[in-house]
Parts: sequence; structure tokens; C-alpha cells
Amino acid sequence: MPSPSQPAQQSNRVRIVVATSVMLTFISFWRAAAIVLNDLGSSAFYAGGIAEQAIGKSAPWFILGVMLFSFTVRAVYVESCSMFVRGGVYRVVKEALGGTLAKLSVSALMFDYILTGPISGVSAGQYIAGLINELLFTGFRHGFLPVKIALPENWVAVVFALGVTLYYWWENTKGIEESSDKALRVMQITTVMVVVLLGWSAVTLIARGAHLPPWPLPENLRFSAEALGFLHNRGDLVKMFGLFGILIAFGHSVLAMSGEESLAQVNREIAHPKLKNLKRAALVIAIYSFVFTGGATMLGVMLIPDDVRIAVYKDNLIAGIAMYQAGPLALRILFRIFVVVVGFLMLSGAVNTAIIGSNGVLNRVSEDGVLTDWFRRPHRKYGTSYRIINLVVGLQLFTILVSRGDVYLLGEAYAFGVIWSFTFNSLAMLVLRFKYKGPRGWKVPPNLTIGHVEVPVGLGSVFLVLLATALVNLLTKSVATISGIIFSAVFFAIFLASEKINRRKHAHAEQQMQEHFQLQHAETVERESVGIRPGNVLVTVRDYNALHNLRWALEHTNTTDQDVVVMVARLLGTGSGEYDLSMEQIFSDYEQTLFTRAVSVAESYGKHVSLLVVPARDVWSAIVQTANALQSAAVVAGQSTKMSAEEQAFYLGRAWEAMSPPKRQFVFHVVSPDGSVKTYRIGPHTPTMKSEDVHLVHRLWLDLTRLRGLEKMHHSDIVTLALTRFARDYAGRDRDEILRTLQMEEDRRRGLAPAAALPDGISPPPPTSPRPPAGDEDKSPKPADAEPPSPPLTGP
Amino acid sequence: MLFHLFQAFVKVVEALFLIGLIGSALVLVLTTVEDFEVLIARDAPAGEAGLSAEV
Repeated sequence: MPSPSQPAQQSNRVRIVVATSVMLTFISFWRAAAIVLNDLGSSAFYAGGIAEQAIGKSAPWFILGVMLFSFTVRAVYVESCSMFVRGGVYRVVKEALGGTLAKLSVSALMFDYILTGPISGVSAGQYIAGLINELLFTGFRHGFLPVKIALPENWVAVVFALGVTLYYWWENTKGIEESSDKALRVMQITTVMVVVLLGWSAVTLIARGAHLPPWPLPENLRFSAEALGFLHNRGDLVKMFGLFGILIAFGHSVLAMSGEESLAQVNREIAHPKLKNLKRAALVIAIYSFVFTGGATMLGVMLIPDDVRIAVYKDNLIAGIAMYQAGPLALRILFRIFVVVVGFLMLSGAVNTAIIGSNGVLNRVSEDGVLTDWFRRPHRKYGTSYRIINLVVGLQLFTILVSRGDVYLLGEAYAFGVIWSFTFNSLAMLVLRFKYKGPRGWKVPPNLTIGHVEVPVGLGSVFLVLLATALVNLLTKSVATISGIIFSAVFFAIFLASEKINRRKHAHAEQQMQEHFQLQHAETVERESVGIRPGNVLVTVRDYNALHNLRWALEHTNTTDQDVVVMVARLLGTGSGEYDLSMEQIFSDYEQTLFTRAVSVAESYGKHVSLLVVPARDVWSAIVQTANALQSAAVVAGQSTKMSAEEQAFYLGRAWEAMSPPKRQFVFHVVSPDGSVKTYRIGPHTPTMKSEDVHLVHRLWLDLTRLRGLEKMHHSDIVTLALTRFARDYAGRDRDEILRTLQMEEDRRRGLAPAAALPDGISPPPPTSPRPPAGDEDKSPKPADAEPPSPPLTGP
Repeated sequence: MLFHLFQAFVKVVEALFLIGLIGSALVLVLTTVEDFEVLIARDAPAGEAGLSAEV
């Protein structure tokens, strides 16, 4: 390994350490379950209505059947995740069946993702439009309105869906912050709604008497013309083959388990013990969605009268359940408003998940050379893969307009992507039972051993059900089959053509890269592998047109004494986070250009820099983990275009707090393009004391040491006693008074010098994040005897 | 001819579905019991399980 002061002298090529393990923050199985349920649970709002329109009044039994079957699909995902920690459809299918079928399966998955947005947005719009019409009608009936007004629900739903999609398009273009807190909060509110819904419905059913839907038998099935698809002229066939009818009905209910694939996406972030927590999350998800989706659909048929259920509430079934509870109208309307609010939260969240998921999957295939780098080029200002986001959102907006707010049409098409991505995944898992010889944490039971061959009975059975359903859906879902095949074929063709172009381009680029850079693979970031000394300076870069922070760091660092490491955090979206990337994928065209510029800047100062690429899901977490692993004394970042320096320090401090020990403190410098610098200390540190405080301690010390028995007292003893008494008072009755005094002091400070606290053009931090949790701005003058003067970029 | 072909297709698909459903019912029972035990079981402290053990 070359020493830092003698960088790669054996070769003219610059050595770059590429870490391939993504830096993650781990979450509990409850949070993982909440993330998946935000997607899976949202189908409860529309699956029942769609299924009943297709197959008649016995639909709830089929929805319950599908939700029970989803328990087995989850088992398949658990097995795939136990083999590859990053086991999504693309990875698993590629491993088992090769690139072509992997591209085909991703095309089906993209169809699923792209339709998730429109169906969720339109469904949320239907709930809102239904509520507005209900309120308008109630107002008219009670004489508050002179005329009866009703909004066209489908068009209101279209406008709403377009608005929500455009909102999330902008948020994703800016780079939305993903948070499991938000998912957990939404699920907590949803749980309140589900408990009220089930409890109130139970009371209503006891009062009015319960009538179960017709049993799921062939003679009880009432298929609509659309529900028979290409067989609509041969309805007699369906009656002739009894079980076939059941299979058709099952196929029309399968979209109730859409969202299960999110389990593979969150797997990577699940905390230790991973497999156990994955199983826990999967079981919680399965039980919750069985109760919510299955229960809501069942209650819809049991509570809402036949004449209005489809006519009025087909697209907002849960709202209908709220309106047909026992009790006063005002209370029922209030509950309906609550249902609409929960529906809005969940379904809008699903619109966002669809954009994030599609972006992640397309980024992943783009990184694998299946889409050209053109798609992945980052936004100049926000650094997001905006071209992919534009493509996905463009397709979603087109779908919303074409659907004209028809949830049934969208649901029919949606099922195509859902069933085929599940089928590809289970087929691949079946093949891998014989092909894959690596470690496997768990297997779907039961498995029979005949001779030396293990027969995967359970896995095979799940695959057979999925395959049979997918094949029948091809015949009975004409809209889904035609649109799904066209969509998948177009995407598949794009993938094929892009891959061909990329191969030619990459061969040339690889040759160029090999002439200039020497990639060194490292599973994790370690100081030794980067070849630097402790106390180094970590410079984070992203935009090759904005390397002012690197220039500043080089100007202020003597690289003979202190190493400079230039780090790029390669951000991975939700969908791509489930996969491990190869070194060449992480170090792409963009990183090559970025590092070429960085090296030119360093050469212009005649100083050496070490280069590092780190894949990450969260940039703040990646920075603090890297700084900790490299034992960096300082981190130098550029001023963000999206947030103030205070906010940057806040997020970095929060990530530092979330990091598991052992952890080191460091100094964080934020350099703006005009060259001004703001400095913060991250982690606990000796506070910078004002000179009057130091004098106060000294005066007290002088006074106390005159007393007998206290002659040998230290200054620190006074500080210790003061702090101990402060902590005691704060924990006791004086807490409010202390807080009031501190608040007054803070107000006085802000009132006296607001301009000094915030430079022009920098907005104050958000009210919820007044300052970094573990880092405060270091701007007050240091007393000469408090600390030795620090080198320009190092902390204490 | 087309009708007979369709009839054969239906029979095959029905058989696949039926066999699959029976097997899936087994998967459902076995995995739910197993996962429920995992759900209610308490984890060993990290030191005992080994900090590096991911699976």
C-alpha cells in the first residue's frame, strides 16, 4: 500500500477506493412493516370495489383468499431475502434465469410501479370527491343550499391525481427525504381508523343482524362482460368449468396483495437479527393486511345495501361503510371525513412510493448498463436522477388522463404487473433451489427429500398458483393483457437497445478510465484501505461544477501533515438499495468526470488527495459513518442549494447521534460559493466558554480556596458542582423556571444580534430543528487559555 | 379443434391451481406457526448471538 505522502508513485494512475457496501441506518421490524403496509394497505381502499364489479357479491371471500395466499408469497420473499440480502425481482431473476428474463420481469414490475401512482391518486380523488358530494347533498337536504350540486367524481379524481403526482414529481426532483417515522405515523393513524371501523361495524352488525356474502361457489359468481375479457362471448364456458370460474374470480382479486414486493426493498435496512426481524415484519404485514383489506371488503358487502354499494360506493367502499354504520348522521359523516383523511395519507404516500420505486428500479438497471447513462445524469441543482423521474411521472400523468378517473380500468391493468412480477420471482426462486449453491438462511417449507434430491413442495405450490392465475388473467383481463404486453414490450425494447449502445460506449470509456484511474475494491470503508492517517480532512463533493469546498480545503490544509480525502456518496434510491452494486457500477461515467475535475483542482494546488466512492441510502449517514471510519478531524462540505448551513449541520448532527458507538467528534465546515465558511462541532465537545464565564469561575475559585480545607480545590470542581446542581434543579421543581430563563436569554440573544447569526441569503433553520443535536456553531471567540489553537481544519 | 384445445388448457390450468392451492395451504400453516413463534420469542443479547452474524 502506498503511503499517503507517496501517492501511487509506481503508476501515473490515480488510485480510487470504491466501497461497495451501502451505508445504511437500520430500522426495527415495526418500522419495516409500516413502510410495506403503507403500500400494501393502500389497496384496501379500492381492491374490494374493483373485485365486486368484476365477479359479483361473493368478491369478499376471494379477497380474503388472496390475503391468505399473500402469507405464502411473503414466505417466497423471505427465502429470497435470506439468500441475497439485496434480493429484489431483478437480482433474483437475473441470477436464476439470465439477463433477458430479468429485463422482462423488470418491465412487468415497472408496469406495476407506474400504475401504482395513478390508481392510488385517482382512488384518493374518488374518496375526496365522494365526500364533497355527500356534504353538498346533505347541505341541500337540510336547506343550506338552494340547488342540488354534484361534482363529476371521475374528473375531480383526475384533477386530484394529476395534482398529487405533480407535487411528488417536484418533491422527488428536489430529492425528497425518506423517513420511516412518517410511515410509522401514517400506520398509527390508520390503525386507529381500522379499530374504530371494526368495532363500530361489530356493534352495527349485532344491532341489525349479520348476513354473510354468498359463498365463493361457481353458481354464485356474476361476471361482468369486462371481467371475462377475451372470453366474454363464451360465458357458458366459465359455467361449464366450475373451478375455472373460481380461478377467474381469484385472478380478479389478486391486486389486493400488491405492494408485497416492497418487503424485498426494506429488507436491507432491517436491524439485527435480520432474518428473525424480517419474518416478524412479514407476519405483521400479512396479518394486518388480512384484517384491514379482507375485513373492509367483507364489511362493505355486509353493511352497505346492494342498490347503492356498486352504484354509489364502488370507488370509495370504506367511505360507504362509514355511512352505513348505526348512529347519528353527524357522527357517521365525521367518521367518513376521518376515513378520507387516512385514505388521502395512505394513497398519496403510495403515489410517492410508486415514483421512488420506479426511479430506484430504473436507476438500478441503468447502473447495470441496461439503460444509458443519459437517464441517470444528475440534476444540476438537486443532484437527483431527474430524467428517470420525468419519464416515470410523464407515463403516470398519461395513464391518469387516459383512464379518465376510472378506478376499475386502472385496477384491471394494474393486476397484470402485480401477478407477473410475483410469478417471475417465484419461478426464479424455484430454479435457484437447484442452481444456487451459496448460503441460504431459510427455505419455504415443506421440502421432501427423495434420494439425494430435495423437492421444494411448498415453493413449487406457490409458483403453480401464481402461474395458473397469471395465465388465466391473460385471457380474462383484455385491457391488462393488451396494455401490459405493449408496455412491457416497449420497455423491453428500450432496455435491449440501450444495453447495446452502452456496451459499445462502455468499452471505450473503460479503456479511458483504466488509463487514468486505478479502482481498488473495498467491502467497507477503512482508513487503512484508503491509505491515510488519522486526523484527516474529509471533503464531500457531488457537483463537478461546484468544487469550491475542495479548493478551500486545499488552501487551508498542509497535506504533508494532514491528508485530504475527497468523497462521493453514491446515493441509491429505495428500489436500488436492495441490491449490491459492482465496483464498476458504483464508479460510473459521472464519478469519473467528477474525480477527473477533483484531481485537476488538487494538481493545480500541487497537493495530493485520496479519492473514495461510498454507496449510500442517506447522505448524512454516509458522511458521519465515513468520517468515523477514517478518523477524520474535519468534514468540509459545500453550501447546499436546498438548505442553509445550519440545516446541513442539523442533519449531520442527527445522523451522528443515530450512529452506533464507538464514535468520534469532528468539525464540520460548510463553504459557500462566495468563500465564506460556517463551522460547527459535531458530537459532544468542550464548550467554548465566554471570557466573563471563565472569570466568574476564577473569582469563585479565589474566594473558595481562601477557606480552610478547600485550598487544594480546582476550577473544574466548581464547574462540576454547578452542573450537578443544575441537573438536579432541572430534573426537579425548578425545570419550568430554568426553561423560562433560558428562553429569555435566547430571545435576548436573537433580538440583539439576528444579522450576525444568519448571513444574507441563508434562511433560518426550521422551527422543529433549531440547532444540530450534537453540533453547535463555533463562532464565539475563544479565550486564550481555554484551548490550544487548532490547525485550520481540525477540531479539538 | 380450438374448443378442444381450450378445454385441455382449462383442465391443465385447473389442475395446476388445485395442486398449488393444496400445497400453499401447507405453506400457510407451517410458516405462520413458525413465524408466530419467532414473533413472540425474545432475542438473545447481541453478545451471545455474535455482533457480526447478519442472518
